[in-house]
Amino acid sequence: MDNNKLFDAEYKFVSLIWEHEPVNSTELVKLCQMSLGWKKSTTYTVLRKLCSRGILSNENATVTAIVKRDEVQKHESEALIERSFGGSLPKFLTAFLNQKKLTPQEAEKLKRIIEEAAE
Amino acid sequence: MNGLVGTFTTVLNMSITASYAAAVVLIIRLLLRRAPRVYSYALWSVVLLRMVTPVTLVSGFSLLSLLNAGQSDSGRLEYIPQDIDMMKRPEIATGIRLIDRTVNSSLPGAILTHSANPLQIIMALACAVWISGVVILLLHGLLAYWRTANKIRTATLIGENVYETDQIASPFAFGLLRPKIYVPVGLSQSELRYITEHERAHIRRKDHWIKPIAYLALIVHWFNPLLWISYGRMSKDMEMACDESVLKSLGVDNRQGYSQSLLSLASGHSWARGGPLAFGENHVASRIKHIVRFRAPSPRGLALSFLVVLIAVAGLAVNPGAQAAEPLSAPRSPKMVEGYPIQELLRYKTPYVGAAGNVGNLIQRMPRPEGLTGGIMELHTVAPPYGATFHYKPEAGFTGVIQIEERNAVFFRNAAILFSLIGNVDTIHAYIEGAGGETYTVARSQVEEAFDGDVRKYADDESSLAAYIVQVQAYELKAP
Repeated sequence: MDNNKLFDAEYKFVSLIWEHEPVNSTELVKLCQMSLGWKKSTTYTVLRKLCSRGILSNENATVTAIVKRDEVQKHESEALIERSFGGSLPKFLTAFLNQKKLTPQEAEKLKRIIEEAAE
Repeated sequence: MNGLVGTFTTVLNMSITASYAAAVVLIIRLLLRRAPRVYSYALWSVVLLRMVTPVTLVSGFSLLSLLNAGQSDSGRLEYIPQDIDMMKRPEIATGIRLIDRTVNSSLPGAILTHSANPLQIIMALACAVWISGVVILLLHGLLAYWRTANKIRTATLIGENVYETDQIASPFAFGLLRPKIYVPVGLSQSELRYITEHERAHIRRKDHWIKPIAYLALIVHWFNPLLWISYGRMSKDMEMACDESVLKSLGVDNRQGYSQSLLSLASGHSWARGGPLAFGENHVASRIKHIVRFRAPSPRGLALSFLVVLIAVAGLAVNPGAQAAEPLSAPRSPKMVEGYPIQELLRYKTPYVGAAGNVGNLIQRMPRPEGLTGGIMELHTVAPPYGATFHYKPEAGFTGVIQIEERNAVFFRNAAILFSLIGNVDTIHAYIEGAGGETYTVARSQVEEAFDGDVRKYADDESSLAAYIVQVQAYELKAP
């Protein structure tokens, strides 16, 4: 799944598409200009590269995402925990929480996720 | 090819002048250590000037008059004569006698039987090496620029004129016409503030132009290690001057936070190369030291530093003037006295016969005997007695007979006048080319005997020189 590795600019770009898909390519160029400060050629170049990697699709000037946000997030978080915490989720949580307190709602959500995952 | 060698010689001369200027600047910078770094930074402008312009203004006051270089017509300082590869006995005059003596004794003289002067070949080779170096460095610079431009193409906007990207490890400003600031991702708010303030200072000062221009000049002078050192120091001064500007605008209490950002940026990331056309943040250790030690200078200190810089720049930017009177005047029609243009002769007066430019200019303005034209000149300056030999050859198309007595009289008179204008020459020879070759020699002692003592005093001003020339012309040369 290394194909799904996105560097910083690509991630921001694909995020824009997740938010606005399906989006007209001309519209996309305008969006990129506004939020990323990219000129037209840059947008088209990145779009082309991501399409050839199978992450985005550009048909009839309409851009959609083939790979969804949760898939990328999964990949990113897996890579992070593998690289920085030796694959140990508890270690990651300890580091992340690090004296922070959870709100009752967050604690509730977490409990439910753990219950589901334990089955 | 000859034009290229000529350009190479010009570059060599400029490099020598620039090296002197750089040495002076390095010394003066020590004086300015307490002062704001802008002053030290400003000093480097003279070195750049010297690297780039062969022709400058002439002034009575010049720190470069400590050098004794011949000045050619166009006001260039020439230690290495333009036609060195044509000279029979090539010599250079850098103004430092030890260097002159060492180099001149090792320069190969022309071997009369060979068709090509060996020095000509050496110069051509050196020129080729120089050009290759320039081309290689130029390509390297362009490549680095192109690579950086590629890396920042997908950088994303995070503030006014500030972009971030994960493709770079240290921040820099990029772009000549509309420079933008590029930072690595993951900077904290305060770090971002310091960094952008620093880069904005660079842009305000037009550093994004100065660095590439300086680097281009450096490429042309790539063979000169002193100038590489100067470039390094200049870059450091540039960075520190911007650090000071940041502290000024954000307040000196911020210096700890600022140093910290510099440190974390330097240690957290591997060294990225934006190439010389962007500028990365290097020399972190010395910059942090400087920031910590920085104190706002007193107005008196500022005024003093300003004065020092002014004097240094004025002294290094101009060539030494030959005479105090009217150094910037345009050439006027020469005032002739009995066939000698005295104002021009006085202009090229020199204490050293090794000043090839001066001596060449002097002999060119001397009358020649009828039927002969001037050729090359040889200067004998390796050891005393110092001398000069001027070659003459029969004029093409001259159908008369050369009168030996009249010819020798011209030689003698020229020599007499040259002895007053060239301080340390002891013998002057006229060598007439032709079957066998003939030499006519005049010794200073002869002239001193004929004209009653040390003739150098006659070259003090126009009137005494004019009087002397009249005397010389009237002198009846007795048959040897």
